[in-house]
Amino acid sequence: MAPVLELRGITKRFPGVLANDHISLTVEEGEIHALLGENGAGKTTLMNILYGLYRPDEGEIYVRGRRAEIRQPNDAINLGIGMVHQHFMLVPVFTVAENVMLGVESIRAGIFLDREDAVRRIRQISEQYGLGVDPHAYIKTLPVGIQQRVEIIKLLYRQADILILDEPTAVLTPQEVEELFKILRSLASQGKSIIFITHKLKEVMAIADRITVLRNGRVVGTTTPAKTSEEQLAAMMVGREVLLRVEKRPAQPGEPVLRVENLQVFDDRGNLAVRGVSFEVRAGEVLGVAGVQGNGQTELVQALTGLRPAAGGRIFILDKDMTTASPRAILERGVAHVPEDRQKDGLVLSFPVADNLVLNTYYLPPFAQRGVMDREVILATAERRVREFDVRTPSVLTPVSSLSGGNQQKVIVAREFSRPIRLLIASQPTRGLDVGSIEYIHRRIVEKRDEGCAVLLVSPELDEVMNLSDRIAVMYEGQIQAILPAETATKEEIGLLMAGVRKEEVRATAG
Amino acid sequence: MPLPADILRMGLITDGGRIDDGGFNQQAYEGLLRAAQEHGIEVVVRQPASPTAYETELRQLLDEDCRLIVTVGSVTGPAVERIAVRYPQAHFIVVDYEPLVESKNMTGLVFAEDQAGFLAGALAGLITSRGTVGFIGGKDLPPIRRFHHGFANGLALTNRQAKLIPVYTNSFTDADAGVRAAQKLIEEGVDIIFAAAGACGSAGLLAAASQGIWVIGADQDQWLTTFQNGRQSGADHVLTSAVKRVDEAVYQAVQKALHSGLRGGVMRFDLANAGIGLAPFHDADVAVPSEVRGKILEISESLKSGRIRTGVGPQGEEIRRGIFARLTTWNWQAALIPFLAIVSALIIGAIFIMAFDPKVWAAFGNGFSAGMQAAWRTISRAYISLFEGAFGNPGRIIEGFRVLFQTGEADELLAGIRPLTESLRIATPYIFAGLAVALGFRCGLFNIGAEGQYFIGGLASVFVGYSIKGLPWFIHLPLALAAGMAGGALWASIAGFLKARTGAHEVINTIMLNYISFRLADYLLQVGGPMSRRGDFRPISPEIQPSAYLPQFFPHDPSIRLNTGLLLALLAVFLVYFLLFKTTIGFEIRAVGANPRAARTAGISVARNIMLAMALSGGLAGLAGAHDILGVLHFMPNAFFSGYGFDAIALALLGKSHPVGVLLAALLFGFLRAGAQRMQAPPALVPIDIISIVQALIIIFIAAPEIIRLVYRIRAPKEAGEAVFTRGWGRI
Repeated sequence: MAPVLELRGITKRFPGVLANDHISLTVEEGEIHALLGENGAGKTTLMNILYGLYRPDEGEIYVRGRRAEIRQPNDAINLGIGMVHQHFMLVPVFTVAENVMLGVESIRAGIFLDREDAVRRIRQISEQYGLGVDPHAYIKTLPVGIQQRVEIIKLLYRQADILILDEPTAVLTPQEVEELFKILRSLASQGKSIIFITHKLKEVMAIADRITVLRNGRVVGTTTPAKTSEEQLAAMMVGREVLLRVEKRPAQPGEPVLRVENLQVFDDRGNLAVRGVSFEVRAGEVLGVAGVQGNGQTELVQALTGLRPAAGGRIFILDKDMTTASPRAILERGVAHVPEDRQKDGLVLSFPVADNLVLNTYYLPPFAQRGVMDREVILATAERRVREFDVRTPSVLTPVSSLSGGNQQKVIVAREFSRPIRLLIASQPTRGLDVGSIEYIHRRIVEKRDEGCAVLLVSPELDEVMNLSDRIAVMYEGQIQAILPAETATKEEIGLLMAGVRKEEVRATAG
Repeated sequence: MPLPADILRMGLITDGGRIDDGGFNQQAYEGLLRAAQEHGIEVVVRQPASPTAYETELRQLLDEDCRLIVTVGSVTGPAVERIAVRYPQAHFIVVDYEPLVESKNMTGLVFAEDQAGFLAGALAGLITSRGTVGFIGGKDLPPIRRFHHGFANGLALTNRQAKLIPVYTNSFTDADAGVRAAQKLIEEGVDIIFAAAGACGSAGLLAAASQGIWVIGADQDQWLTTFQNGRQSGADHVLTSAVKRVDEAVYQAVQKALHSGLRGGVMRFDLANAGIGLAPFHDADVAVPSEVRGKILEISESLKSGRIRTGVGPQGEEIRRGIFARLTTWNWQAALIPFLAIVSALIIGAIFIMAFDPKVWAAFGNGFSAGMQAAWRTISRAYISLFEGAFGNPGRIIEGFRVLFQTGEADELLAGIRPLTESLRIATPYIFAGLAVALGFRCGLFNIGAEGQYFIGGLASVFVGYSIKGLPWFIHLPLALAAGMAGGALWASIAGFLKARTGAHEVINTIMLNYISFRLADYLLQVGGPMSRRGDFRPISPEIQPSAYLPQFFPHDPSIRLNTGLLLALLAVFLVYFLLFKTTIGFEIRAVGANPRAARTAGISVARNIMLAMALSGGLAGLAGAHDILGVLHFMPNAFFSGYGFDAIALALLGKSHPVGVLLAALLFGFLRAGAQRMQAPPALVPIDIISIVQALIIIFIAAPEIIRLVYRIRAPKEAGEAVFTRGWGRI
């Protein structure tokens, strides 16, 4: 039987770069086919060709054995190809059913929307594949994981049987990822074919039937999880050996740099999100904060950086009470902040790279003298930082919005790490980045630690926390469950603490 | 730090390649060996198996007592940087690398590849017959970029029409990729290929030369290396090579280290010190005419002396200089859309003019051609009036100049340019008000209250103008202007304060403040009111003192109302520009406007900047009011409505919130307004509202550029670099 989808020799050229270079690929019915590659390997370009957003310069596409001409997304949809983008395309103030209907409305008596019909079909799809989505719920009230399922329902509603998911796990919590995988398996077992675009090795090993690795626009190879390993995949992806574990020497902790006493913080709705936490971070050590997202980590970091007032308790930085200090006073105390949402909090996207590199130092000499900014110095410094931190950008005057996520993060890292700092607060520093960038940023963080900087690392990625930290604090419902030394802590132990099991009970279970 | 005289050993670490690779490793080795033999020093060579081994090899060489170590290639740079700080007694020379950290015992050897590329490009421009040449680059690294952009600029110097097609293979080793790149370029129709991509590029050159394409090598004289002294097929198509004399550079650096001592930093090698250059033509000798050689020699000398530059920066980026270069990089499309918007609006305006003229309809009753003639007459009469109302009658102005030169009498000329001065007079408050709104936009604030701030500015300036007596003008006038500015600023600050403190939306509050200011003026100016003119039955303020007048340009001709306020407005354009783009205050305002959350995270006070921007915005709007009082009316009527405050929003949009854009937009509106007044008079008799329609259409077209793009088939701007630099993440 012919494969559901076959790409033959797809080539796409952009000015100065070959995004796709004679890519050939087959997808079988009921298969979960992972497309693995670093950012810029050409995965998204390839899928955009398949979805009709770009035209290939060369090559052919066959769907169910027939030559297909895909000129626009509508052609793709008619061929049963659907795509879930990284950023959802949903109307927040509409219900699930209304969003799903959008564009393919069921009509009654000529002009009236037939919501019932849509609701019925959505229920049926939801049950058939175990999606568990309420058609009447408003999108804005749904967690990200469920919103993603609505996107999947949209495709199924349009009778797609080849589903492309572009980096679907980038926005999900570990639990939501598990849920998504269950759904994908259920879809595959009922004959849907899934193309799963990712750069995360663990996920590929967990979910894929077959894996195709792309590098520099070319297929490096196709394999199966049984025949390969994470290390091997990483090497294929990056083209060299990659250290998946950060190599670091034992910490040599010095004086406490950050001391937090019984800190309490409200969230936006006025609920106590941080309920009395106390800890300290010493010079030359990494304290990792593990925990499922939404357990007060965000508010904790905001309070520490002066972005959110503390409701109670004290914050000391280098023995000075900074509980009520302004963000600038805290920055000037030698605190670097890599915020959790780089695009919203870390960068002014419309500003050039150079301006973003001085976003919190623009007023200091040599960048400004008596209130007048010195462009020459700012540009020259930017040139050096871009080189030093290997930021890939056409020029320092390029708006940072046109850089990739990894390079945007490097801009932030370059800015924060180039100041004299004593404390680094890094919140999800590698969210959504590829293996090469993750390795790079991890190495930089460890370097900072070795220089005697205190590091507070907050991340929902347990691997990241365990890899980098010297001590691990586990947060659950606004409290710190326990602080464990990293070398003896086990994944199971931390996992139980993250789930809310108390420390004594954990020891008993493990014991 | 000078090396001790008893140094016995020197080390060489390659980038992983062998020292007989015919490339940089071999050259570096030869250079080092030459220096070593002259001093009787032993040379130890290491060829690391992988990039991770650089540090280990460095340590081992140091353990073996090598006091001077040369490493090849920028890849070795970071490892050397880490080691060098720990071994201050040794010295390190790194080929092709600019040290990031200043250290006294590490010297980078840097080459002006852009000069070699420039010469190669100039040669290519003179030799190409098809006018299309290709460049193959390896990875996107500074040396390669320098080759690339130097080549491009050299090509442009000798052959303006020639086209350059660059291809990056992203590899220095992949021979297949090199051949494919060459093949692609040949398909694109190039007749010369310049490759700077290591072995990858060499493979491409071999493939191309064997097909009769001229090739230019890089780094070494590739006729000698890749084409094996001309034994390889296609060697007769090797035009030349852009050569980096790594051997010479290493030799010079080592000599210096041994004699006078190296003090770290970089040593630069360029045409002037023979560190780079073009290789001999070899087999291609016959193909290069002597005038071409002469030209290349001349360019080479000019580069050496600095008379011409390659236009390539230290990181290989293109630097454009001079007005011509600026014009060529200017984004013409940015100006094209507003221009077409204006033209389109005038065309549609013409249809309205025609449609509302009963004579045209009557003429159409007598047949189509009669109708069209009548339409043409009506429209041309209207727009000629508009033009003359805006700029003056050209014939009359020329006549005025003639009279001026013959008799020294200026009155005729002044009468001729009166419409122009009137346009500028109207444009003046537009400039202030447009700047006010634009400044707000830059901080993310929508100041709809410019009209109210204009009122309050007018009230404050008129009060200072009439109530204070006996001051000299140079105190009274600035005081009245300052009062107008302060009034507007304070008024806007109410909305600014509410926004910063409570988050109350400035759009609502400024609209409400508009009404309050109108009624406040009503109350103050009503007959018998606190600011009314005593003994007058009209609700107007007293006349201001002459000492508070903005001086007229032509005081003896009161019909010309243009005054020095225009100069103040131009000054304001400059000051707002300077503030926004050159000062830290402007940086903060723009950062808060573009992304308040990121600004706050970076330690910028959002509240303070909102209040500041709102006050500045109000101050500018207040100056518009002060201008009209002090420069034009000299008193304040309670019907002070001008519409400037609302048109200002359009001006800010039209000018893309840039001070210079606002200036141009304000001039346009000044011309339209002044012209419209002439247009409604005989002979055109077109209602003034037509111009309001034209203004509105211009704004619609600017706000929705897609309409203009659609009508005139202009492609949406494409970011050429985007495909390369957005690596998929975060975008569809």
